[in-house]
Order: sequence, then structure tokens, then C-alpha cells
Amino acid sequence: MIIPKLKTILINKREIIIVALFLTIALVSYLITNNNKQGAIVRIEIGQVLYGDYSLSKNQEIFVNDSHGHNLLKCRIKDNAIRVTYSTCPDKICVKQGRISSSGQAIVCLPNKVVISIINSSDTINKIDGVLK
Amino acid sequence: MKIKKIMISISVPILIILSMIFYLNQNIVVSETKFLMDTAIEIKLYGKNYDRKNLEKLITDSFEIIKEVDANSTSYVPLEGNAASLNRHSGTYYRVNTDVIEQLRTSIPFYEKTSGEFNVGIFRTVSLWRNAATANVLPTKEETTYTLGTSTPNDIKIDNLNNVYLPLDLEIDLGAVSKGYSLDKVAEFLRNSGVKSALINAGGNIYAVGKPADKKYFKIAIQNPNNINKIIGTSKLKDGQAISTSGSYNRYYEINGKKYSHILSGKTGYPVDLYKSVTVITNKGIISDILSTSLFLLSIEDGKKLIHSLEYPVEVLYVTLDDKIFATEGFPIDYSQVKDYIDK
Repeated sequence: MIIPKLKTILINKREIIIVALFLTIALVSYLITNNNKQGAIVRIEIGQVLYGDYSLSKNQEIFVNDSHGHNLLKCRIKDNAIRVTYSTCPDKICVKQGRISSSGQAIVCLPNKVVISIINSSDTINKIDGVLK
Repeated sequence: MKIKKIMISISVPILIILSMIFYLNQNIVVSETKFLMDTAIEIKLYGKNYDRKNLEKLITDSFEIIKEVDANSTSYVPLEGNAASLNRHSGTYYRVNTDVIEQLRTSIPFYEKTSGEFNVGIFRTVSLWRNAATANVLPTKEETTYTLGTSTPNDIKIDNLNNVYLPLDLEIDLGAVSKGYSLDKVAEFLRNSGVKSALINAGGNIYAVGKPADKKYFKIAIQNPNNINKIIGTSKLKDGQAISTSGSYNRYYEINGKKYSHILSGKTGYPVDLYKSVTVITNKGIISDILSTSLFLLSIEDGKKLIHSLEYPVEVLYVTLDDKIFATEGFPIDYSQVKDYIDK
């Protein structure tokens, strides 16, 4: 019963436009909600200064250097996560911390005053809301 | 056919509106971490997607408040009316800003309450230890006693016009006070700005506004002092509660290869290592910060007496040097997630 009626509807130009519009909107909203995950950014700051923002979805190695060009830390972004692979600090706490991948997480290297944080990812609320260190 | 036409032309805009409402009404967390007050400070605001821009602005404003408290409370960088300038004007009345006044008024009484262990006038001794760590030479007992001087925080005078008189042999250090104090200031600002749910984490001090969207309270993981990748358990933080922890596992003075706790006794001027960590829950950030240090300097017995003498509720959890955990009855601690936790 539906199929013959569908055929009759599709003949009309107005109906084609409306259906196409509906599909476009559905596609766009799907892209918007998905894009938020792709938009996750890694922000690296040394003290009060922004060192750089990097896309979490692009595999790369980042050298974090101080104002004199001396290397303080090395990090690697891989598979939508970042971790510190090398640091000049004595205890390597930042290296031992491992990978972070969602908004709100941060790796901090106190001796080097480096903060690596994830912003813009629209991940849902984590089960643990804060860590007391 | 006419009915089908009407149905399509109505349902399409309805679908658009519904999906927009759904999208805008999604629960989000806006979060940012900045390095301030010599530590990592994280602010998380919980709200709705339609409010995102406003929440991002509020986080920026909150960090401005913390920067201001930092500048006002530091003993290292002198600015008009701040703690460092006050220290340079000992022996005379000096006008300071409100942040310094409030922190002094709240912290000075803890000298008496801890029999002299918690001492805001300990800056000269702190400087001694900092310089000693750089020079890699252990301070002598004479040097330490000298820096303590004879005056106590009880000799600090404050008038009603924000003028403070410091005795000549005393300089203040608000390091054990200002992080907790900044939590209260930011919380007040956020509440006044209509924020219903937020978590502020200032290097070992966390304050809760409201509750997260999907739970009754905030869940806080307490770091294991023996291993930063592990936790000893999780705790609950309700609206208006603050949790603070003290311990020498993250900060210490290193001299001749040996680690010395950065928490100094106000009586002896020497580092104290009675526990691996002390965690406090109470209803004000400034108090939880002061208490986490105060209780770290006292025996468990003396700590109990201190808590009972206070008019507000306080819960404590101790991790002793031999890895035993002692907690007050009302301290919410849950050990069930310890194995599952991976700091990733």
C-alpha cells in the first residue's frame, strides 16, 4: 500500500526538495556531533605562556623547548592520545603518568612548569571527576 | 495524498527543531588547566551545550581571580599591598589588600590551636630551606632557630582599615592558605554567576559547587602517596565541600640526595614527616587547606582534639608511614575502584 503511494509522492518536485532538505539536515547534524570528537586539541603551556595547540587526531612528535631553545620535554600524539616520552625533570613523574585522551585530563611537569591539557573534546562526563594529588 | 503532504511538511521542521533542542540541551563539561600559584589549577564547569560560550568565559574570569589572589598573596614578588610588600615593611603599619587581610584573620588563630605548629609567620624559615636546597647544604639548628625569631603570629596586629603590623623578626608565608582561599573566592564568583555545578582543583585542594549532571555527588580519587599512578580509594564531595591533602611525596627539599618534607614545624622550623599523607574534608576551601597542613604537623590524638575544638564539621583520613589508613567515621572512602583505576 505504501510503495505505490511513495511512487506517486516522488513524482512531485516539492516533495523531492523537502526530502532532500531533511536528509541534508540529518547529515549535517550527524557531522556536527561527530566533528566535536575530531576537534579535540592538545594545549601545551610553559608557565603562563601558551607554547602551542596541536590536533589530537594527528599523529606527531612534539618537542617542548624553553625560550633559549633548550629541550624540556618530548611528547608523542598517537591514536588520539598524547603522552610524554622524555623529560629533563629528575623524577619523570610526567613520563610515568602515561597517556591522556579526553577533555579535562592533563599531564603536568612541575619542575619544567609545563601543562599539557586536552580541550574541545566533547566526551561525556568521566566517572571520576577529580584526582586529589 | 493531501494528508501525507501535510505530515511531511510538518514533521520535517519538527524533526529539525527536536534535533536542535536535543543537541543544545546536551550535558557538557568545560574544563581548563593552568599553571598558577606554583601548581596546576584545574577548573571544570558542568552545564548545557547552549551555554558553552558563557561557561568558557566564566572559566577565563575564574582564572583571572586566581591570578589576582596569587599576586596578592605571594611572599616572593612584591606588589603594592601584597604579602611580599608587607614582609618588607615589618616593624610598621602597612596597608594591605583584602585577600591578605582575610587570609591572615583566618590563619593566625591556628597558631594557638596547633600549639605553635601551624605558623603563618614562618617565611624566613621557608626561605632558609629553599636556599639550603639550592646550595645543597643542610641548615643548622642555629640558623633555623634564628629565622624563627621570638615573635609569633599572635604579635601580628590588624586594624579596621586593612593596616597590618608585623613584628620586626617575622615575615608571613600564605603558601598553606592561599590555594584553599582561592577556591572559596572562585566558588563564590561562580555561584553568583549562576553556575550550578563546578569542580575547582588547585594543586591538592578541591572544592565542589553543586553536583555533576549524572550523579548525586562528585567522585574524587585520592592519590596513593607511594605511587602516583595509583589511588588509595575514592571519596564523595558534596555541594559546598572542600577536600585537601598534605604530603611530602610530590614536593620536598632535596639536600645531599636526601628528601626533606616541605611542611615545616612552626615550633622547630624543621621538616615534619609524621605521615605519608593527610586528607581533610570540610566546608570551606581555606580551612581544608590550613587543616591538611595543621593535622600533618600533629599526632592523631592532638589532631582529634583540634577537630573537636572547631565549630564546623571536619573529616580526616591519614595514611601512616607504615601504610595504614585511619579515617574518621564520617569520612566517605570507597576502596572498590582501587584496582580498576588507571591514570590514563
